[in-house]
Amino acid sequence: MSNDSRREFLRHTGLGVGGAAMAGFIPGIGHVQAASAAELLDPLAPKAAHFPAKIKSVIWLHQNGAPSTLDLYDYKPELAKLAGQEIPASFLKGIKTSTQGGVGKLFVSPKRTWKQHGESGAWFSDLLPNLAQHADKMTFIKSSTTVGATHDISILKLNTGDLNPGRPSLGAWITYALGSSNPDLPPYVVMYNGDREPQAGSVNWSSGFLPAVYQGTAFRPGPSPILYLDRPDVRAPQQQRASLDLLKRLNSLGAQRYPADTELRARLQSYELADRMQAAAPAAVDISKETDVTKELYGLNDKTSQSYGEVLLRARRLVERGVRFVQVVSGFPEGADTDRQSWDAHNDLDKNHGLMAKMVDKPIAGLLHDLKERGLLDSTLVVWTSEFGRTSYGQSGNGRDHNPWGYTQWLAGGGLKAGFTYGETDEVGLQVADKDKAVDTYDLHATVLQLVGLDHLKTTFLNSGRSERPTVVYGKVIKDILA
Amino acid sequence: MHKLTIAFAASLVLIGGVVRAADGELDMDLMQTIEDTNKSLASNIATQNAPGSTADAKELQDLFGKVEAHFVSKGGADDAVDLSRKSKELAGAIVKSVGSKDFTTASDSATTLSRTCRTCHTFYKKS
Repeated sequence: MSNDSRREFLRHTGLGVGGAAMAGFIPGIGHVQAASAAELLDPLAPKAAHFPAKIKSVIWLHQNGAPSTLDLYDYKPELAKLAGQEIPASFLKGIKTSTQGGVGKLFVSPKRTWKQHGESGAWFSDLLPNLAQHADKMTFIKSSTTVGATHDISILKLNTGDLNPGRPSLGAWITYALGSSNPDLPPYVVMYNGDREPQAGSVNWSSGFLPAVYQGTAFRPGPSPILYLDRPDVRAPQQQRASLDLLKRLNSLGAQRYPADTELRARLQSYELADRMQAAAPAAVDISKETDVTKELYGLNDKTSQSYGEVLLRARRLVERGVRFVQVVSGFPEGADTDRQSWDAHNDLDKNHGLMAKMVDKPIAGLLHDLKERGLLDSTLVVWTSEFGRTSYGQSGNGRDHNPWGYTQWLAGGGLKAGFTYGETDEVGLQVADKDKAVDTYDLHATVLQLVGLDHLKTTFLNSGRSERPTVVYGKVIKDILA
Repeated sequence: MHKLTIAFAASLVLIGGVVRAADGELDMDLMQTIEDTNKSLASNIATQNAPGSTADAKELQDLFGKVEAHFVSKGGADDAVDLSRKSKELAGAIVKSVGSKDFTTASDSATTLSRTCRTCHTFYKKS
């Protein structure tokens, strides 16, 4: 009997370690969890959630550079009244404003106008006319808070829960805990628009101390989103299959010798996944067959919103195909000035946010509408998030500095109270008004995990003898926003 | 000679303590120990290690007692006194929960304790 057929025999009859594990028992080890048993055969095998999930997929819209939510959602009449004056000392109590720009005078753009929308009466500024039409689909968290004053550090915390590299991202934890629901596509995809990878880097979709197979797969913008995915013309499909089989056999021998080498396991998995993706991925990201109406819905007919719209349209197609976690990092429209390639408006906020809001407004509105029309919004969670917000006091005369003390994020999709607002900032929009309602990144992670059916306290991984969880030692599900 | 070395080391520790007390700052080693013990506690609760959880929680009770004493003697820091007292009580509650094998409640209390640490640090942080 050859080694291959012997292994097949053991697998199918349940006599091998994998088979025994599938049955939930390994001699000498005892009963094992179904999840870890499945993992022995395929680390991406679907695994049971802790409780029934409200959603199947997450689209994580990271607004890179930190938008001023004071200029988008958080209407503050008192700020408008006090604009041009020094901020009253009472609003600065308990915070250290030692960021580069210091504390300028309270700032309000003279161009800004506000209106309430939908039955919920949520406030939107003139910068988001399309998104405003979906007010009643959204659940606002207006008491968001975080740590840090620099982008890269706070972005890391937003995605991994730590200020230092090394921890798994939220997408990696979900992939680890639930596995894949489409074996032909990566369960965790990262996308961005613009001509370069997000500045904060791949550490933000890393699997950290989890096995490497759970890390995010970056899809580049443009017609060929996955580097080197296409089979070269000079190689026939049979040649490729034969070389992959040989590679698999050699890597399997290596994996047997080094069972703890998760990088090798991930590589084995990724070769096979790449082979299957050669057929599945181009179809998943090919938006050429989408109707003109759909393309217009996502803003593809406008130069400013086109690249972001294409990414979101791809995100919808991936979610349709069972991808669990799609992390979208906002980039910038083609030809944008170098100082307007993110939401980071330290000066000339009107110009910056005018461009960035126009880039995302129609595509995100289109995504919400499209998901709803296709019956996918109930099983998808869309999260608008950023590393921090921006200050109510000005910087450089017409910009705003970083604000980790109080800003707005929102969610839309299954399992949530739609058209609902949780928490608020103080009267000038600088700090969270009620500290008991402060929502830190850990709380957001705990809530997202809850919606996919995972208890953040029970989603654990033993790393160097210590049990680790996605929310580090923090995290509280925001029960008030759950339906 | 050995006794002399110990006496010298002890006097250095004492002088260090006086310096710390004089500048009104909390001993950073103490805060680091709290952070490490808190992480260990979360892990021990997750793995349902009762002896480990109890030992960590008792150590935290003791450490938060020191934090409370520091802020009481410093004065003008009512928030910090309240929060360190609350943390001490939460550590005590964890000891009780673990004693009755209720790791779910212990886990909730440990998370609340961590949040209390964060709340305190938003007010009192080293610049």
